[in-house]
Amino acid sequence: MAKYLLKLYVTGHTPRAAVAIDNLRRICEDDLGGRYDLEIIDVLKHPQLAEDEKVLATPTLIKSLPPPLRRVIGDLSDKEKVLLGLDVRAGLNVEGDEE
Amino acid sequence: MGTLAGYCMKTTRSLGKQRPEDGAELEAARRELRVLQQRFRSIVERTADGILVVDGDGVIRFANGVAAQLFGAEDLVGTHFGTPLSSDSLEVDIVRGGGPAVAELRVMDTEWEGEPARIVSLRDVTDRKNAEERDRRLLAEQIARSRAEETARRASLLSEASRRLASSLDLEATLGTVISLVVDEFADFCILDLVLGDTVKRQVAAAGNDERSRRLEDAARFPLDVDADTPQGRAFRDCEPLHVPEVTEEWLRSATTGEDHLRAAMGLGTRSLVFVPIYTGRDCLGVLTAGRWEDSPPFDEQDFHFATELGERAALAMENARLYQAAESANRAKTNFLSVMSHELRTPLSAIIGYTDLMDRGIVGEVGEQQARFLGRIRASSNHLLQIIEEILAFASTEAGEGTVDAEPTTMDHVIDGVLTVAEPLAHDKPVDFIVEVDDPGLQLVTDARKVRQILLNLISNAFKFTTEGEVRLHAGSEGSQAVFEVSDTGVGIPEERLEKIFEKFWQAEDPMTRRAGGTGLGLAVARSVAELLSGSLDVRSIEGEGSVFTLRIPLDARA
Repeated sequence: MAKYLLKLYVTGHTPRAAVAIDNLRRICEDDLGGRYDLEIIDVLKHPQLAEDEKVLATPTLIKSLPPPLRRVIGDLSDKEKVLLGLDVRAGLNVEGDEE
Repeated sequence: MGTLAGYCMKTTRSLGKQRPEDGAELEAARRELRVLQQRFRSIVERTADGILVVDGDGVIRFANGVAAQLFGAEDLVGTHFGTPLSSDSLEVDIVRGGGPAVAELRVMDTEWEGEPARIVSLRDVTDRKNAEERDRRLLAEQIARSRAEETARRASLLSEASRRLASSLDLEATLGTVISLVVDEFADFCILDLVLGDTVKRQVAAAGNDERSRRLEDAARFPLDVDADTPQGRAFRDCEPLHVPEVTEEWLRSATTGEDHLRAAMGLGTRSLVFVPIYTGRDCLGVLTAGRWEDSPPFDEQDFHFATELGERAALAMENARLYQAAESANRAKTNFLSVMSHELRTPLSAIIGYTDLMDRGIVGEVGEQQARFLGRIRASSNHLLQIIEEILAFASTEAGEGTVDAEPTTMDHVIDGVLTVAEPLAHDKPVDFIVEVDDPGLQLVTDARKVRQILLNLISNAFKFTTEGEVRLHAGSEGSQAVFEVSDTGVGIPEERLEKIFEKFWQAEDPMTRRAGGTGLGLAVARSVAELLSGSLDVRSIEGEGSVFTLRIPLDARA
């Protein structure tokens, strides 16, 4: 099973950033079965990265692997919408069995 | 609005496909298009919100001027924005140069060129967010401030408590203070249990005087059982305070002994309880119970902390009161001891003096010169010893506050005679004249003659002690409504800085010069106390090297 490659862009320590990071970690543990590479990028610290990736608003979550590339915006509170947006098959666990 | 845009696009595209022959229709269509475009632009460009059209893949297909400004980007079309994770509204941080900005996004489903798309309207809410943050901070500050004020109030309450507790060494009063402090400031009711040996002494107080205080009295009938396996019993035995923020029936069951007790306790309507053992650092003196009714807020952590602090101070105050009481009764016991011992000492001494006297008078046979001398010495020492015992006894009486004045009618003569009988022998051993002057022997007095003699004897024997040559003079007279007795001597005198000190208890012990003269050092202290007891005064004038004059004044009529 291929690993998920995720990049979460946030702005400093705004409430939205905190909530998004929290929610994403939980989603990664619960629904991605631990098979993920997560990078959290603070646009205040790395404005160039944000510019290169053309991130206009945060929190923005970009899933680059497995394809297709998906980009979602929001604090990631609605898990179902996040998984749908990232094109993650629901109920997938480490072994690859359906729930 | 999505359809309007879409219509414009369709119209433009279809216009592009027109053939030149359709001139008039084309013109009309072009005009229509311009109108539509104008309407479109006026709506989209005049609104204060930024507007984006984002397609199914998250790519921006249209952006209005405000949106471009918001993102600080001139050309947004074609940028991969992303799929908003809400079909309603969400908040995002705007990424652009300059300060932090927050926008509220509203998302509406629409169509763009036949495909599902989303219209995203963006509103800059940075100012609103800042205001909210400011308000939140202000509120937090206010809460912190009121907490600090509460803490300060509690601290000053504890100081006040300490002050009131320290103001009395009376145990009963101290207990009363503790309870009223608790009920005034802190709890709806308070029960203080003091464990004295086998018994538990209980005091109860309640704020207000309603039905509930009557029920409290009822429930308070059930005493604290320090040995019981109840939460409060354990609190006492372990000397650990106990906090019951919310009293439940279950808890009451564990805390009561028997059905009656439980019923009375449940009928109280107590919401919250705190048990604080009164712990002096060595032993647990009792338990302070504080309670609040159902309509009061429960005791919180701060309240609990306050109660334990109060308990500590109360323990200290009660311990002080107890120690004072113990010291007092020890003092009283000592005083009684002194009285008893003095009596026991005086009795055999009287026998010695008596028999010596009889022998001296020749009652049991002729007395030779040497024998007379020896008898004289025995008598002098016995008298001296008697005087010391009298001094001690007098001291013990005044200390215990037992001095009573037996005022009887008498004459100056009678008083002085009694003095002379004892004083005269003192003159025999020394080359010192003893002169007695009585202005008016028949002068009527109503006083305690025995006490007056006691003082005068003390003064006279002192005078003889400190005089090696010259005279000791006793002058008895009157001035107005007072009798005045002066005992003067030509002895060593008293330095000015010592004039007041000599009336202090045990003064003699501190002074090497006076120590030689012997005695208990109590004499003058007692003499003055007795003088004051007689509503009189005792003072001294003295010149070092020349002598001293002690003046005793008492009212002629003690009843006046």
